[in-house]
Amino acid sequence: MKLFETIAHLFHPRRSNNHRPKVLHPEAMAYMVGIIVALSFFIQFAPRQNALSNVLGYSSDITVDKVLSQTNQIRGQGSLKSLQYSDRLSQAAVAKGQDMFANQYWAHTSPSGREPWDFIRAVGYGYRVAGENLARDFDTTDTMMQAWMASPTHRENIMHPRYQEIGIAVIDGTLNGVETTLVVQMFGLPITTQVAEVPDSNVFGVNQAQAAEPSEFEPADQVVITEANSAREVVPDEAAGNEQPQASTIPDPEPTLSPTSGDSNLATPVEPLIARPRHSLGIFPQFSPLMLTKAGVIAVTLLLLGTLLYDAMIIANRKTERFVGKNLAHIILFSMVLFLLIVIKGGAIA
Amino acid sequence: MIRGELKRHPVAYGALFLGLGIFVYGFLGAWPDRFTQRILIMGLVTFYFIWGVATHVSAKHLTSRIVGEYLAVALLAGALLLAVTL
Repeated sequence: MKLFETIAHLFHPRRSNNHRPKVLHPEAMAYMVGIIVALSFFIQFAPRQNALSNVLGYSSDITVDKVLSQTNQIRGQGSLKSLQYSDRLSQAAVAKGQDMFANQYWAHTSPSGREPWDFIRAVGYGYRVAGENLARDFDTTDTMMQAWMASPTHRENIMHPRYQEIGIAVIDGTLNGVETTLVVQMFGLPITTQVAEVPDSNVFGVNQAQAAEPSEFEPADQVVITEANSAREVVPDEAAGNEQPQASTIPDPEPTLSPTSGDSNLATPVEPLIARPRHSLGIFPQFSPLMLTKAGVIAVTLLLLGTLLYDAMIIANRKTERFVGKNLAHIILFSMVLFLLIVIKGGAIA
Repeated sequence: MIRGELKRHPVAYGALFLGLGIFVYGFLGAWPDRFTQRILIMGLVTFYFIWGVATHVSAKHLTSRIVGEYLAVALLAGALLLAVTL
């Protein structure tokens, strides 16, 4: 009986709540604001220190092959040549991703000053033009590609006519306490299929990449174009032209047959039978912080909308006059909020 | 009830729909730039609070309770949206 009274007090307009459901009173809404802010920070920034840590994390269907296929599909739509998958550039991309997880940063330049070009040179890839796109927290390849294409600087990298090769890394790990999927795209126009000695074991390791940095690739006169949200470096042809082609000493990874070919419907599939590795640096995630936050705030919004509609209906039937009105503006506002919460997409790019 | 309210205050609700429409367009268009989205949310909170107070000032029944209600509703809507842009 007491529970029923409490529920009625919270959600039904009557004398005890001054003919306005208690959850719609300003003080109750102020409490809700505090709870939402606290829960959001709890879910977003402290997942590893709480009871949710076994289920919290990031789940995505992003694969190297999908990123490659969609990148080439987009380039095809712009009448540009497809990019060839480069194992060497992919090693650089994986090393960059692992470096971001190891040193807990999210940027083109590491806290110690390592730039994307350092990772590219470290695996012995000689280039005339190179670029890098970064993404994290996306749950699908489609939304990630949309985000890159919505950003002029990332779009420019994807649609750059001089690039011939691409390396891609998709890596799961924990960044600043949140399990996530990082995607690194590295683009290049190679000068040759060069060069440096990289040990067979752990070719993806950051330490190995640093050790293998070849001094002969230091360009004499670099022109660096660094943009706010994506990165590209151009090496003048004169400097690049001095490089002599040498045989690669890095063994190619063994290709394996993919059990599924998810991109067979795309216009320009590139080597669809090669399953390229997705790297994991921790527990494979199941739910994203965004998904949990979205579910929570959508539930709160539905509760508020339902209470507002119910209150408006009761007040209209009783013909009660109130200064606070008939809730129409609030209903419109929370309907818009609900719409945005449903359609909002996650992810971040750099 | 809804139609009656809209007919009684066409200018006020017209301004509300316009403001919310601009916000939705900007918010979706700003993706994936979360910083811009958060700035737009702050703008929405301010807009809705001012709209609520202004419409009640024009109707000449503004009370501290109404000011508190519009402030709380605007902040709650803002918090709900901010939570998914963190």
